[in-house]
Amino acid sequence: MRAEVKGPDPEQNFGAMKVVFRKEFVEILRDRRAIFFAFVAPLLLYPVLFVSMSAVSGTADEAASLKVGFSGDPGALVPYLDGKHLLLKELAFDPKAVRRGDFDLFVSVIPGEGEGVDSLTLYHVATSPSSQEALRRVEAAVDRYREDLLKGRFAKKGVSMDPARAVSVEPLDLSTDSERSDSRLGRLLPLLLVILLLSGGSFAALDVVAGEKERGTLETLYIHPIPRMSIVRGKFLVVLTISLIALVFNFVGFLIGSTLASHMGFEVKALGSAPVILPPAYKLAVILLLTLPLAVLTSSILLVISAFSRSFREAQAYLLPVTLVALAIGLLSVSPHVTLASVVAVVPIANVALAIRETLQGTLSVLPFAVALGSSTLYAWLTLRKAYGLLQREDLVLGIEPPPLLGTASAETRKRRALFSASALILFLYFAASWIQAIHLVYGLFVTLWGFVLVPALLYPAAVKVPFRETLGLHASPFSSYLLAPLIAVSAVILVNAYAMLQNEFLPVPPGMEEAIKDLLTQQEISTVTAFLLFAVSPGICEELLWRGAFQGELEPGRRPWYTVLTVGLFFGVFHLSIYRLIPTALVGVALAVLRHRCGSIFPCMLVHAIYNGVILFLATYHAEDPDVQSFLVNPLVLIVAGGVLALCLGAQRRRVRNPD
Amino acid sequence: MKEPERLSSEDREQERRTSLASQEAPAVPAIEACALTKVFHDPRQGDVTAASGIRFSCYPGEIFGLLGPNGAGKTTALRMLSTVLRPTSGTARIAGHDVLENPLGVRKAIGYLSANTGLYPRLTARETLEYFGSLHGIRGSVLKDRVAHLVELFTMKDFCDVRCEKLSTGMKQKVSIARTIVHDPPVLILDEPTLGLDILVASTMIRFVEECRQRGKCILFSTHIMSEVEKLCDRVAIIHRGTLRAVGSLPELRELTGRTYMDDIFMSLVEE
Repeated sequence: MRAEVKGPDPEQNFGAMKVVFRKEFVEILRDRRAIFFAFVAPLLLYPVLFVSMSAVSGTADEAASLKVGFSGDPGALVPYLDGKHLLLKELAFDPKAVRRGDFDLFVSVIPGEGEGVDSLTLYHVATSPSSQEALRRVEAAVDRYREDLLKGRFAKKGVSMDPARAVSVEPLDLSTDSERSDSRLGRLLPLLLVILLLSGGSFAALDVVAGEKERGTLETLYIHPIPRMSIVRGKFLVVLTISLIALVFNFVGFLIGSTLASHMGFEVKALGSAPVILPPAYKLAVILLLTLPLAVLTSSILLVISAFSRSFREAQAYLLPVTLVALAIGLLSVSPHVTLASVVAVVPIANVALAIRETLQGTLSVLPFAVALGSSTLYAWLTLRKAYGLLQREDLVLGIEPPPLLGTASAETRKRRALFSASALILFLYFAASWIQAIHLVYGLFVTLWGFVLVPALLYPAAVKVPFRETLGLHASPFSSYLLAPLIAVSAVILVNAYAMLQNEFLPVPPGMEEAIKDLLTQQEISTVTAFLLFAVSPGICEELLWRGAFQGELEPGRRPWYTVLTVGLFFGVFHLSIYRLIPTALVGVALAVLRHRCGSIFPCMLVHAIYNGVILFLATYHAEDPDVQSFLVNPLVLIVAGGVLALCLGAQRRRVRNPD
Repeated sequence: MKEPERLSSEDREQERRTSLASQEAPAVPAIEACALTKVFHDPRQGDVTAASGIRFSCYPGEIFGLLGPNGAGKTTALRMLSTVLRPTSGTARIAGHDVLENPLGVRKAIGYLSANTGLYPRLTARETLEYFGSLHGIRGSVLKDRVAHLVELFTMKDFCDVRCEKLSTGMKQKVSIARTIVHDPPVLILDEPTLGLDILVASTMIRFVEECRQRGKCILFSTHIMSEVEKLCDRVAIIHRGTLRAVGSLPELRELTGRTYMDDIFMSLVEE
């Protein structure tokens, strides 16, 4: 028996797309997790969230007794403090008692004439709610005292006047409830929209591609006689539909939640006390118009992630950083100083978020709106095309990768890759490190080393698929190599110092800079231990893993040792981003590279580096101007001995004999 | 190890002899692989050749086995034949359609069961068959009748309305096979169809393959199990490290290698 087979016309593949769409939609709706996260959770989440938010953000209990310490005579002020549930206690001047938690507030009184008070200093802790409450009560009491005092003085001079009524102020809000509600929504909604679109569509996007790859159904799907484009379009439409449905459910949940919270008398700071009112229809229409390209963009981004992943879990791992980046861009729209009539109009995600905020707040003008809408549509279209393209790529669709033959990349490939990555990193550091260290020198250095130097070094082997331990040189080294480390470090200090003095003859370090370097090394505000950790231990670990670890490990296979060693030294010199330090640091880099090459391990290099920096730090701190030390360091005999020791120590290094397996 | 060049010319010679020997077979092959080669490009690892110069023909009413160890290139070859992968060079014709020029025509003509095939967990067996049937352009009452026929053929009545996630391995395999022939294709390409199945399910699978041969279909299946080849295959191609080492019927391969058992034949072709 032969079934009647009518292959769909490739030109009219709408029917096939519909079949795919219907099946995917049904399947998604049958997943309990998807239903829960996209539809049920939002309806429950917001009411719970708003009520609990208002509960925790409530102020301290007004009836609670608070402890107030004071020094000096408060005299006439005392009656005003009655009935405010304040336990007053006189003590010697001790504002720290508030910090210790013994008191909620400390009042230092300078008495005026008679019973009067001349001035008050109120010591409080802004982070403590009870301290803030105590401050509020005492300030209220002082206000009343001051009023009465003025009244009394006016009366004495025969003037009848209530000082509180000297200038009468009554604010009158001209905005309507609806406008206030829109304005509040405008602060919240755009960012929420970005998160919701990404999270709402994520299950569907991950399931219909990465999930199918994992289950082995995608390959089956692709050998059916329908154009692949119909399959991809069907899947895209499902993701888009589900994210939009989830968005609507979230919005409904949001409205219910805020209404519920305000009816129950809770005040949510971000929302104010009035309920959120549905914005007028024309605003909703504009928002919808703006949301569509954003939804296409987020759905396409999700599909791109899904296409690159081999399994659902892998896709989930990519999802978090992507969401964070999207959020970071979206945050641009939150700042009150940013308007759409700027370059933000062409920043993806931020432009739509900002346009929605301005729509709600009624400040949107036509041209920026058109630019935002146009550019976001363009981004959506480009990303969608990218997703379509990726989903037709056989390697990605099947999750096929060539057999994972570690280290099959040619030595030439690895060399080019290493040089390129290292150059890119140095260029990045040139901007990033100076920027972050300008904000805060000590923390900036810390972040530079542990973030910008160490993290790339650790991620590199996995990123280019080379063995982790082998590349970074995380092998045990013979005990002798650790014993020799101090000798290597000290002789390197002596030799490099001599060179630096020579260099100073023809390339003198500018005087201001010399001071700056010394200041850097002898930071007064940091302790010796911190300085040691920051300038010796951290570079020892982080810089070694990057330069003698990832970089040298990638460069070494199949190359002549001298090439590797000199290249590592040169890059290490450039890495320090200073023309004056280029050659001295390159020399140290060469010595360390020789050490890694000889013993095959990174650990002795770390030790030498840390000791080297530690000695420099020690000399700069304690013996910077000591003529004895200086003359010792450049004594020819000392230099010859140092050179000999260095050569011997490096020459004596041997690789630990390892099992060839 | 033999020089691949010498072997592949030998293969061609062998294949010519085989086709001449089986004069009664129809002249038009159902599957014709012409020097299929697949090279995966990887920026990190360079080029990896998964299959190189694969060349063989299978005829209607024939069971053709592709025998090789894991990683030999069996799956890559079958994926190229089923248009999942595009060959780097060479081509193939399935039921008269070229895989490069008319992939849709090829896909209509084949039923393909991949090695790691899966089912949609949240669709029932019946819905699965209906879905794939409609992707083949079968609609309406024709589709209903076809699915009902398959349900009966594979005795799936008891579980055809249960979601696939709740089915046992054997039941799932039945659904997968039924899915493969939902459009009654003239050519079946089965990638390791008995892999991971217990003896009962595997024998159902083998019976199914034999029945298909009786109905005049061309069946190409890959395996690394020697006994399956001895029992089932009319002809067999031995593949190792991406190249074909020999093609022929079992007697022909015995003659070529001077060995009796499939294991020994295989080892002698692979090890030399």
